[in-house]
Amino acid sequence: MSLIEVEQLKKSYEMGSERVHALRGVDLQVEKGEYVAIMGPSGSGKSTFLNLLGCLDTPTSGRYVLNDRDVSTMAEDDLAQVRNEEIGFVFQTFNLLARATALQNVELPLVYAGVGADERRSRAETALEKVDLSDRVTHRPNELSGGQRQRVAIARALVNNPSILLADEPTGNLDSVTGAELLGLLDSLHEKGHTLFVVTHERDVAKHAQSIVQLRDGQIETIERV
Amino acid sequence: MKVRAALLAEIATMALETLRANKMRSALTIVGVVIGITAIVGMTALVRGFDRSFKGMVEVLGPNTVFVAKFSGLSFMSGKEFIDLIRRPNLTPDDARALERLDSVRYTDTMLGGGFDDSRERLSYDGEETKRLQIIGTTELFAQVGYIPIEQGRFFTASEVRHRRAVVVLGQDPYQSLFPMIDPIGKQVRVADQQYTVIGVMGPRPSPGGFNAGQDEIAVIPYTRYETQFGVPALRVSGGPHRDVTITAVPRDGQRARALREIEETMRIRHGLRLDEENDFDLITQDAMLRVWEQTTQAVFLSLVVISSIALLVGGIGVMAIMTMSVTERTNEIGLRKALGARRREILWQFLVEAATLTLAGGVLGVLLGSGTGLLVHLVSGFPISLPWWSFALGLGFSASVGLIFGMAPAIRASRLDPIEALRHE
Ligand SMILES: Nc1ncnc2c1ncn2[C@@H]1O[C@H](COP(=O)(O)OP(=O)(O)OP(=O)(O)O)[C@@H](O)[C@H]1O
Ligand SMILES: [Mg+2]
Repeated sequence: MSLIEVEQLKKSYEMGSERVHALRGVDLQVEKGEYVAIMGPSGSGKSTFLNLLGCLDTPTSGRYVLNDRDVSTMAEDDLAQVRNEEIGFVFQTFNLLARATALQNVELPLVYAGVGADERRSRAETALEKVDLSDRVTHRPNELSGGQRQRVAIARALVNNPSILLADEPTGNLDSVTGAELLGLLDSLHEKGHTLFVVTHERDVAKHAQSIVQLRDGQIETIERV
Repeated sequence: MKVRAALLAEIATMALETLRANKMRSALTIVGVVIGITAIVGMTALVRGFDRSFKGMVEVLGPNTVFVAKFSGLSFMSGKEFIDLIRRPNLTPDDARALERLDSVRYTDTMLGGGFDDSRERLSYDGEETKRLQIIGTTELFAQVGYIPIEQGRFFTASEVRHRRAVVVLGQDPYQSLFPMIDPIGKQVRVADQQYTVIGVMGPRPSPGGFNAGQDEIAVIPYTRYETQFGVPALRVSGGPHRDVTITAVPRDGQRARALREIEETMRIRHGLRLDEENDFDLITQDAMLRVWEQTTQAVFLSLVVISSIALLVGGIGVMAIMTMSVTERTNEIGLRKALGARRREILWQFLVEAATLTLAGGVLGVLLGSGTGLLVHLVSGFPISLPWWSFALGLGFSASVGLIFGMAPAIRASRLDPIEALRHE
């Protein structure tokens, strides 16, 4: 059994009388430890696919088995738990809580996992160490650079030891130098055995992955091994 | 609805931080709650305090004693006009004698003066003069019937009453102003223009609210003597001088109901009332006074409930508005929390706790302001107050409930947000 098994995954939206088909039947299998890039023109369904993989959304039809569990038909609160335990998200706009320190931001998933305060703290500190931010623990997001913010976001995504790490255009809001640093960090996570999905427009970013999934019009056009 | 303990603590901390970050807005929101809770706690302190001392005073009257008066506070409370009350016939010592002849009555005391009339006179001793005091004429039973302690000397006897002896028992006030250092017993004082011998001093008397209502500014003389010096009120002097005569009747054991009935009948006959005419006198008993008092305090409490409900309602609507704004502003945050694994009920509780923390802060402020107001009134005027713990609990409970109730709709809205749409917000 693969870590991820996706069969005929479809997603469509009702827009008044029209139906928008964002995904028109996607099949994909991904093994544990793989590094996958998702590319494609704007509107091709990259974000929709990533959201489904991240259990933020449920498919209109099709099957999605994550870690031997069929998550395609789960209820909302069960999905929340799957997100908490299995998924780490990295967003293009970082999405850190402005009022909270780096440490508190990283602790947040552990709060919802019901982890006690002491363990939460030490695990969050370890995660910040992994992204090389031990000296910025008490900083708030507005006291951090863009690259540092994205690293806090990655620490937050990692703190729950998720099965997969999902990043939607993680370098989109970073300059090329910090973008390159971030990609280096993702590479090292891959080397340590994490399973990664990265949505990107940039070929150079995608080249860090092992395979590149090309989407067009809601369907997989090619899967390219790098 | 089970929420993890760690999470609840976390939620409370987060709520407090949000409030700290929006001090001005939070402060404005809770004004209504603060007013409502201040009203509850403050008014409870005053009303309960007054209530206690009033009951203390009424209880001194004794449970069985029946007072007959031309009119009293009871008639005002039942809405009668003063102008009609003053036209009622004056009571007389003869009325008391008639009542004493009743089988159900053990004894009566007649009290002349001491009420709303012109019987205020000065006492003087050795060149010292008191202010105008109430001179009251009574039988030898006055102290006994009214449970008035005699501090020094004695009260006058039946024989002294019968022989119209010029003896006086001083209240605390004239005692202290005329005899600050000296033993008063046996001294000659002048009451208005006549000489009296001091035979006793009464202890301080209770009064409602602990106010100095002049309850100690009295001097008591035999009522027979009072009649000689100040004259007897004539029956039915319409427009004539008003005299205060209060008759105190103590029923025989177990005959209270019968005594009440017979006293009423006797008085009606003596005043020549027809069947369809109302009583033109008041019968006052401890429980009648307590009943009227209870009605009054209940009315006060009811208006209190109405006032504070309105304030809390206004506060609640403010909280609802502010929480709705907060949910909209933080849509993105809600999406993020959901993405990180927050369940519906955890989002729901976060906003409920935030709303309740907000209003509870208002409640704490209200409790402080309310009890502070009570204490201030107490310190400035000596008005008795009572700060029962339950009024604090009530204040805090109400304020938190306002947050929970009015925060419910925005919190439910937050918990139902779609994570993707929320994340995409702004
Ligand atoms: N909530 C929605 N309601 C209606 N249509 C939607 C919704 N979300 C996405 N779509 C549509 O689904 C299609 C795929 O959208 P998606 O966001 O997955 O594209 P994308 O590949 O991520 O594009 P981009 O590179 O611009 O981010 C688009 O045509 C979009 O308009
Ligand atoms: Mg997209």
